[in-house]
Amino acid sequence: MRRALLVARSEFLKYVTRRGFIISLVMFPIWVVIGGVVPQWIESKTPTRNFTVVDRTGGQYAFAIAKAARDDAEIAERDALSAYAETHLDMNALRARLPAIAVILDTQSEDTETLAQFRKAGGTQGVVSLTEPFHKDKVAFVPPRPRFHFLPPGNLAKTSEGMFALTVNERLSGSDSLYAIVSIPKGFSAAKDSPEAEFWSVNASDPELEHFVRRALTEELRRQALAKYAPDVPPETFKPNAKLRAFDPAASSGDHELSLADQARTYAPAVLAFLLLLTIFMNAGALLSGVIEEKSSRIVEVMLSCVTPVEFMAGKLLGAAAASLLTLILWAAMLLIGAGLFLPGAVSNIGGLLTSILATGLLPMLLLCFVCGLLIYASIFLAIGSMATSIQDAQALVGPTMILVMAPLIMMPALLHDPNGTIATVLSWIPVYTPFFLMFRLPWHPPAAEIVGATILMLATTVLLVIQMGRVFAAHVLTAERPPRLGALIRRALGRT
Amino acid sequence: MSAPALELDHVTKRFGDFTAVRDLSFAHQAGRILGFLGPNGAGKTTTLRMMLGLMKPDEGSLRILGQNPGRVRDRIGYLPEERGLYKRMRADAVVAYLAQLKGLDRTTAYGRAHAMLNRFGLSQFARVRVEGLSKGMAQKVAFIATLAHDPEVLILDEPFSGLDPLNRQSFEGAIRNLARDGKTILFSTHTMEQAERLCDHLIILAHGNKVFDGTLSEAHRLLPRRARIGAEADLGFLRNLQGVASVAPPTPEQPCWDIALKEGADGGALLAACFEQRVALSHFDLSEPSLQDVFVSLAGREAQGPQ
Repeated sequence: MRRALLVARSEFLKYVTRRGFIISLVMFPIWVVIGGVVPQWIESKTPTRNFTVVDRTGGQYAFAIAKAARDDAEIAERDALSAYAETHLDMNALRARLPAIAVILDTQSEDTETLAQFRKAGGTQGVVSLTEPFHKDKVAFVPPRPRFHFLPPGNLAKTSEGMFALTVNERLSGSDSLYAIVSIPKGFSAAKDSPEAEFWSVNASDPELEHFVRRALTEELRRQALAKYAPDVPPETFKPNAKLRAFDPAASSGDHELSLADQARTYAPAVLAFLLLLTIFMNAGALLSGVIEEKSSRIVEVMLSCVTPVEFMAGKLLGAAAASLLTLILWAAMLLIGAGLFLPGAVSNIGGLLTSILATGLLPMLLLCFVCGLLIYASIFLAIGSMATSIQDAQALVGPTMILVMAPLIMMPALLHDPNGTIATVLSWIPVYTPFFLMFRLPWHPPAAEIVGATILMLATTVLLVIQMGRVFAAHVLTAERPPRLGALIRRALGRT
Repeated sequence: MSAPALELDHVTKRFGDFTAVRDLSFAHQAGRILGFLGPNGAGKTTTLRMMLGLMKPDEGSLRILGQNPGRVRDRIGYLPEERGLYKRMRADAVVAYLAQLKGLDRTTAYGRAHAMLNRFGLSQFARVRVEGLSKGMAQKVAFIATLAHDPEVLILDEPFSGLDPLNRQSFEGAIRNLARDGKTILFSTHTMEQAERLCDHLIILAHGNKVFDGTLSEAHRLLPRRARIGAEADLGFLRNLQGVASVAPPTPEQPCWDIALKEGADGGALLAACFEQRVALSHFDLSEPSLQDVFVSLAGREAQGPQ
């Protein structure tokens, strides 16, 4: 036992004195902050989605959807107010003197009764003024931005059905920040043969508003049915399904209906961006351990007696890129074979999807982004491998790099909400992230100048990083020293030593 | 005389404040075997790396086959101390791969690989992964990989380490044959006996400095021949002989008198003097200094630094 404890002590000391241990300790709170704060920050930065409803049935559905949007905003305000009250108000005094208001602030739910009380109390403004004497500090309440905002349809309501698609296109791409248009046709109802409502939007990646409208329509259909046929039946027992189809003015089909192919075209780059991340994770270990093995067994000397360090690194990068592309092709082939074996009908669908992705003409650009992304990160990992004398050494440097690589995953929701918004645009101009975000945004037609600029930036970053990481690789691949300090590493990458 | 195959001119290499190689100059003719000797940290590996073009000197210049090392990469074969092979590759594939990197086309490279594996008795292991070979076999494969592209200069770093006596003998034979075929060979080693058996030219490094550059016989002449004489009587009278440099009495570790001779001195004169003085001898031997003695003497002197 004593010997086991001696080994344990030695192992413990080895572990806790590694740089990787210290870095992982520091990384944990960083991750907590990134994982907890960034999504909230993204949510707060997501703009309110303005929409309108063209209701050809007389207006009842438009009214229902507008009311649902207003309720949604009120619920969000009430919840925010409740969270605010917990910190900034003396709730005990409030409960004693204004119990009705305290109940509104204490309840964290969407129940209609609390909402009715909230309205009765004057909504946000009323509650804020009533609770003024109970403030513990001077922090003012800032109401949250509503998720959805209903705008009157204006001239759209007068547009004939024949001209509707054209007008929708103009309005959605116009300057009045309209995010979606809902069209309720004449005769829309819960009946099986009812015509379908239409949801027009240029951002198929963000289904939040579409789901919201569907839910509001369903609720309205249920309300109507219950009022007409069974006023005594509990609402939960009756579940109509509002028919709502998604349309995109840019959709490939003649009637602009958002088909599976359109969705594939929209999501394929996102999937590819995700696969790029996956490939980077898969390759990182292989690249690192490969270089470390070559260093420790002195194969690297034999190799460098045959080729230059630049040729050696370039060969490794190209090999990794080719293997990754082969992986993608094999995954696609396995998908097709699997579908052919188990879902024979799906093969033609998958074939159609692939054809539609090819038809967009985005494929060369997507592949360019993919290869650039891979080269950028593979060159970083190769440089790390060249500086490490053991896997443990490498881990100390891989940790921070992995945080860098993971960041796009955390930012994905922001892009889904608003692919051409400020966050997405800013992220596209951060050189190491350009391949991911450019790839992701391509289907949403970012401005041409942005595509050209980001592509040039991406190519320049790739070339520059491969060259500079090549320098680091050449400088370290023959040494058996511990990895240099970060400052020295940056100076070396910049060619200052 | 033709131009030297290896030529270093006042080469210095530093790593930060540490000088690994200091003002090293030597020239080595083609078709000869150069032994590159030195204790650990003497600067051997750094010099080899500069000759291979893996590192550039901070001062001075290197010429391999009359050119910069980087320009004659394909005319050099290099065998590192450890195997230097990809473990997961097959024996024939790794030989052919390295030969292709040295400029051979695929067909020729595989042809050479199989022919040489056959010549070294490894044909049945040609398709075995390197990790499945014994240490000796892997060393042979590495040696074959060094030769497969028919280089003019061979740089071998500790080529005999880990080999059993039979394989060592076979390697020595192969190296002699290569020199006979006109190849220029440089090998670094710690094993003095091998250097004595193989080398025409020796360079000894210690602490980055060249402490010897010459032939084996020149190295032997650096230290005096010694006589060891066993006798009960006092042999101090031998100090008066003309060819004697020093006389040391027996010690518990060395029970004989130790007499160092001057260059060209006749050992027979010692015997004659002892007979003349009627001294009874129990032991007499006369020996040349070994390379080991020379090496220890030179490297030790360098380690002590200037007095």
